[in-house]
Amino acid sequence: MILVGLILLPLIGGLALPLVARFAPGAEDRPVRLATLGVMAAQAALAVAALFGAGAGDGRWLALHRTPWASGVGIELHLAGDGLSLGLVTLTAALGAVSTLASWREIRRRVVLFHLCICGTVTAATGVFLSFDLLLFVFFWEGMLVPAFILIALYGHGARERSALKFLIYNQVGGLALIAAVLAMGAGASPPVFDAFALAEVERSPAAALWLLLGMSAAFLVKLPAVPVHGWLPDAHTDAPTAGSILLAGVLLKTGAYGLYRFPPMLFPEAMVQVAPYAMALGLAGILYGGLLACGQTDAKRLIAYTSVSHMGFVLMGIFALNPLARTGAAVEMFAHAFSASALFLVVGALHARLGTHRMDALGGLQATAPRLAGGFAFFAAAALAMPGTANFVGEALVILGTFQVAWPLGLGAAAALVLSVVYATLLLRNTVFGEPGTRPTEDADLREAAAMLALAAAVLVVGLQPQMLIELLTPAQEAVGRALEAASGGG
Amino acid sequence: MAEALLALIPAPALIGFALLLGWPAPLSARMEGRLGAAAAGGSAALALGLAAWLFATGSGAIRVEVAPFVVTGGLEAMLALRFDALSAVASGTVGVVGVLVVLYAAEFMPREGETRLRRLFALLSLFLAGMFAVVLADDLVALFLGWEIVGLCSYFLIGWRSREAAAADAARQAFVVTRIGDALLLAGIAALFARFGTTSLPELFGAVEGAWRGGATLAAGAIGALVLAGALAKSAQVPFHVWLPDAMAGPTPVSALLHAATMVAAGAFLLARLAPLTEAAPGIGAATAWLGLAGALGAGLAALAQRDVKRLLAWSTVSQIGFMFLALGAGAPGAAMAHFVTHAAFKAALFLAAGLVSREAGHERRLDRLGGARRRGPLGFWVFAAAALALGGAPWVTAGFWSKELVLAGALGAGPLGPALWAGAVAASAVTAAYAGRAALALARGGAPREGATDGPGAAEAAAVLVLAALALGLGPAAGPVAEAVGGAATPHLGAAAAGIGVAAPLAGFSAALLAEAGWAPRAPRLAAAARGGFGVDAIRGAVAGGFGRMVHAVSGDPLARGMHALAGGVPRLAATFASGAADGAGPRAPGGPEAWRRRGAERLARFARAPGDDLLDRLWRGVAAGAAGMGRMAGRAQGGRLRGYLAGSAIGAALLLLLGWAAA
Repeated sequence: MILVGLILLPLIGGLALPLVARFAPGAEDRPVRLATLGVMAAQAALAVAALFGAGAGDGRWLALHRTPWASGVGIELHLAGDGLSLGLVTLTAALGAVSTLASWREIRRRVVLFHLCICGTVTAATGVFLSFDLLLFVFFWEGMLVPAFILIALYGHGARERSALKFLIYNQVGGLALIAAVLAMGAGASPPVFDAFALAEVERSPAAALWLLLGMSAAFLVKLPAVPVHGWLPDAHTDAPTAGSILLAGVLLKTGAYGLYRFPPMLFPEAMVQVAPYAMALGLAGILYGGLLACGQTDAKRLIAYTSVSHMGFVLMGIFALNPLARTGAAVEMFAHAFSASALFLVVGALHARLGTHRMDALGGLQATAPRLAGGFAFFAAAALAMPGTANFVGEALVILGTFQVAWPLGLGAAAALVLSVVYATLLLRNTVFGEPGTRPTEDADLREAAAMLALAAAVLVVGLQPQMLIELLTPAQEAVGRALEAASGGG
Repeated sequence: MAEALLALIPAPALIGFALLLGWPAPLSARMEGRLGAAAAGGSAALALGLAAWLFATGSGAIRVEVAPFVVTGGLEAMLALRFDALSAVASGTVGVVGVLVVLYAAEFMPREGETRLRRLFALLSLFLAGMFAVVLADDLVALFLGWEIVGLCSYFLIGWRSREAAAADAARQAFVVTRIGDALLLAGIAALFARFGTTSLPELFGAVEGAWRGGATLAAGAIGALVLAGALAKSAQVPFHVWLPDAMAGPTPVSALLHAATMVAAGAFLLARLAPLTEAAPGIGAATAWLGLAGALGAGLAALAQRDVKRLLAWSTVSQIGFMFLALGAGAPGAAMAHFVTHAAFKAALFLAAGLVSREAGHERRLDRLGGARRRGPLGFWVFAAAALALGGAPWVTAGFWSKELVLAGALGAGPLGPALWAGAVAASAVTAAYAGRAALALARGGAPREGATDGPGAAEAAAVLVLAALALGLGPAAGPVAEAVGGAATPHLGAAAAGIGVAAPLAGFSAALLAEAGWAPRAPRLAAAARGGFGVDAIRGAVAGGFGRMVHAVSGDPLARGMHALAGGVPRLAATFASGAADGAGPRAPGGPEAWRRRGAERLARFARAPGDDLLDRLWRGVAAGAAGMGRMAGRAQGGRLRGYLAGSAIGAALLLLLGWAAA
C-alpha cells in the first residue's frame, strides 16, 4: 500500500494546490509554495519509511504491491521497490523540494500551475521508478513529458518554446520506440501479459530479443542522454526555469539510467551481453564528447548541461561493463550527478534571478561580492570534477575500476574525464568566483537558497565520505542484475 | 595506544578546517591565525611525538584501519594508515614546516594588507590534512584521497587573490597539469587493482614481489609508467614542469608551503612509498633517474637565469626535486628522503626570508633591485644567506651538503649507468651553488636603505625563519640516520676522488657566482634567454593548450547533434519524394478529390524539405510558428505550436514504430 501512497501523495497534493490558492491566499503565493514543500517532505518521509521496511516486502523487495486491473489483456497494478527504486523516489521528492525553494524568487506568474507541474513530474517519475507492469511503466514514462514540457515552454527563458518542442520531439520518438517494444513483447506472449517478471520468463529468438532491446533502449538512451541523441538536452536545460533544470538533470535523466539498469538485464540478458561493448564505447564517447563540449561553452548553464552528458556517459559505461563494481559505480553516479548538477543549476539560477543572465562574461567576482554563492560554486564544481570526498568520486572511480577489469582501454579513456572535468570546472569558477566583480551589486544567497545548497552539499559529502551506506542500499538491485546476467551467460 | 594516536594525526588539521569554515560568528584576525596555527600544530605535535616513539623504541611499522571506505564487488578500500620510518620522516617534516608557515602567515598576511584570512587558514588546514593523508596512507584509495585534496587546495591557494586574472589563470594551469598526472595515477591504481585485486599497500607489495620479480612484463612497465607520470606531474618534473613558475602568483606563505615539504614534494614521497612497485617494474627506475637529472640540470640553469627572486626559487624547487627523483630512480629512496627533509627546511627558509626581504624593499621582487637587503633588514638577509648556503650545499657546515652527498652516492651506485648519472648530478650541484650564491650576493649588494623603512619582521615571522634557518644549517647530522631508516646507506660510500669532487662542485659553483658578481661572467644572452623561459616552457604550453583548443573548437556547436538533426531532416525530404511520385503517377484528375489533397500535401512537404537551414528542428519550429500565426486569434500561439510539434513527433515515432514492428516480426 505504501507504494500506491507514494504515487498518489504528490498527485493528490498537486491537484489540491488550486484549492490552496483559492482558500488560503497569501502574499507571493506563499501558501501554495509551502504546501508543495509539505507534500515533498511528506513524500520523502514516506519513501524513507519504505526504505526502512515499513512496506510489506519479501527478501528481495522492500515493498511490493499487486492489484489485478485489466487482467483480460494482462495488465495489473504491479509495483515494487528495492533500495535503488526507493532511493531514487526519495531523491525525486527531495529535488522536488529543492526546485520549490529555487523558484521562490524566479516564478511570479501562474504559480499554481507551476507547482502543479512540479508535483506532476514527481508523481510520474515515482511511477516510473516503482512500476513493474510495463504498460504502467510506459504510462508514467510518457506522463513525465507533459509537466516537464509545460515547465520549459511556459516558464523558461530564451527560445523556450523551441527548446520545449525539441525536448518533446526527441523524447516522443524514443518513447514511441519503447511503446512499440512493450506492445510487441506483451502482445507477443500468450496469453498477453505486461508484467516484467512474467515477460522475463518468455523464450525469445536472439534476433527478436536484440530488436526488442534496441527498441526499449532507444527511449532510455534519449533520456539519459547518450550521444548522438543528446541534442535536446543543452537547449532544454539552458532555457528551462531553474526548477525545470533541476528536475531534468536530477530526475528525468535518472529515469533513463534507471530503465537501462533495471529492464534490459531482466528481460534480454543475452542480447545485453551482445551489445555491451558497443554500449560501453557509446558511454565513453559521451564522457569525452560532453566533456569537450563543456570546455568550449560561454554560457554557464549550457556548460553545466554538457557536463551532464559527460557524467551520464559514466552511468551508461558502468551499466554495460557487466561487472559488479562498475554497476555499483553507475548507480552511485546517478545519485551523485543528481546532487551536484542540481546544485549547480540552483546556484546559476540564483545568479540569473539577480543579474538576469548566465553568460559567463557577465558574471564574475562572486568571491568578493557574494561569498556564500561563491562557496556553493566552488564546492559543487569540486563535486563535478569528482574530487575524492564527494559522491561523484565514488561513482566515477568505481566505474573506472570496474571497467579496467573488463576493458582497460575504455577505462583509460574514462580516466581522461578527470582532466576534462578540471578544465570545465575551473573555466566555470574562473568566470564566476574569480575575477573583478561587476558594477551591479550581487546579493548573497538568502536563507532558502542557502538551506537548499547545504542540504545538497550534505548529501554529496555523506555519500562521498561514507559511501558504504548508499552502496548497501543499492546492492540487492545490483546483485539481481548480476544473477540475471550470470544465468544468461551460464545458459548460453 | 600508538594506533589511536596514528589515526588522530590528521584530526586537528581537519577540525581546524571545519571550525574556520563553519564557525557561525565572525572571528578576529588574531583568532583566525591562532586557530590555523593550533590546527597545524596539533597535527605536527602528534606526528613528531609518534615519530619520537617509533625511533626511540625501534618498533616496527604500525597500521591502523580507521574505517572502511568502499567494500563491494571484490573491492575492499580501507582508510588505512601506516606509520613506519618513511611516514615518520615525511609527516614530521610536513608538520614542522606546516606549523611554521602558518605562524608566519598569521603575522605576514595582515601586514601585506590582506583581509578575510579565514578562508586562507581554512584552506591551509585542509591542505595539511590532505598532505598527512598522503604520507600516512597504507591504501592506494586513501592515498589518492589525500593526493586530490592537496591538488584542490593548491588550486584555491594559488588563486587566493581571486580578483587577479593572473592568479586565476596560474591556479587553473597548476590544477589542470597536475590533474593530468592524477588521472594517470588513478588509471595506474585501477590497473593494479584489476591485476592484483587489492588496493592495500602491504598486500600489493607482496603480490608484486611474487608476480614481477621473476620476469617483469610489459604490463608491469605500463603500470609503473602510469604511477611515475602521476608523481612527475605533482612534482612539476620534466615534462610536466610548466605549471610551477606561474604558481608564484600565490601569496608567499602559500609558495613556501607548496614548495618546501608538501604538494610538489608529494611526488617524490609517492615514489619512495611505492618503491617496491616501481623498482620491480622494468625501465621505470632508469626513466625516473634520467628525468630527474634532466629536471635537476635544466631547472638549475633556468634558475640561474631568472631575474625575479620568487621565480628563481620556483625553478630551484624543480631542480632540487629532480635530485630526489634521481636518487629514487637510482634505487636510493633513503637518500631521496634525506634530501626531502633538508630541502623542506632550506626552501621554506628561503621563501619566508624572501617574503621579508621583498616587503622591506617595498614589495620588490626583482633581484637587481633587492640590493642592500642586509642594511634594510639584517634578519631576512642573513636567514636567506644561510639557507642559500644550504641550498648550494656548502660543504660540511650545511644540511644541504650532507643530503646531496647521499644523493650523489646513490647515483654512483645505480648500476652501469651510475657514473653518467653521477657526473650529471655533480654538474647540477655546481649549478645549484652558482644560482644560490648569485641570489644571496644580489641581496648583499650595496644600495641605500629605503627612506623611513620600518617594515622589520614581527615576532612570529622572526621565530619561524630563525627556526627554519637553524634546521637548514643544523640538520646535517640527521641526514645519514634518516636515509638509513628509510632504506639505504647512512654514509655515502664514495671513493676519495668522488668525494673530493662532491665537495669541489659546490665550491666551484659559489666561486663562479662570486666571479660573476665581480663582473667576470661570460656573456651568453641567447642561452640566458632560453634558460629564463625554462627551455621552451611556453612552446610546450602553447602546443598542449593549442591542441586542446583545436579539439574543443572541432566539437564546438555540437556537430553530432546537428548531424542527427540534418539526418532527421532527410525524413520529410524522402516523404516528399515518395508523395510527389505517387501524385505524378496518378495522372491528372478533377480537382478536389483525394489526388489533389495528396498533390497539395506533396508540394507542402517538398517546400518544407527544401526550406533553408540544416536543422530539421529549426524548420519544424518555424513551420509551427508560421502555422500558429496563421491560426490567429482562434488558438494561442503556444498552444498551436505544441499541438503541431506533438503531431510531428508522433509521426516520426510512428514511422519508427512500424519499422521496429516489422523488424521484430
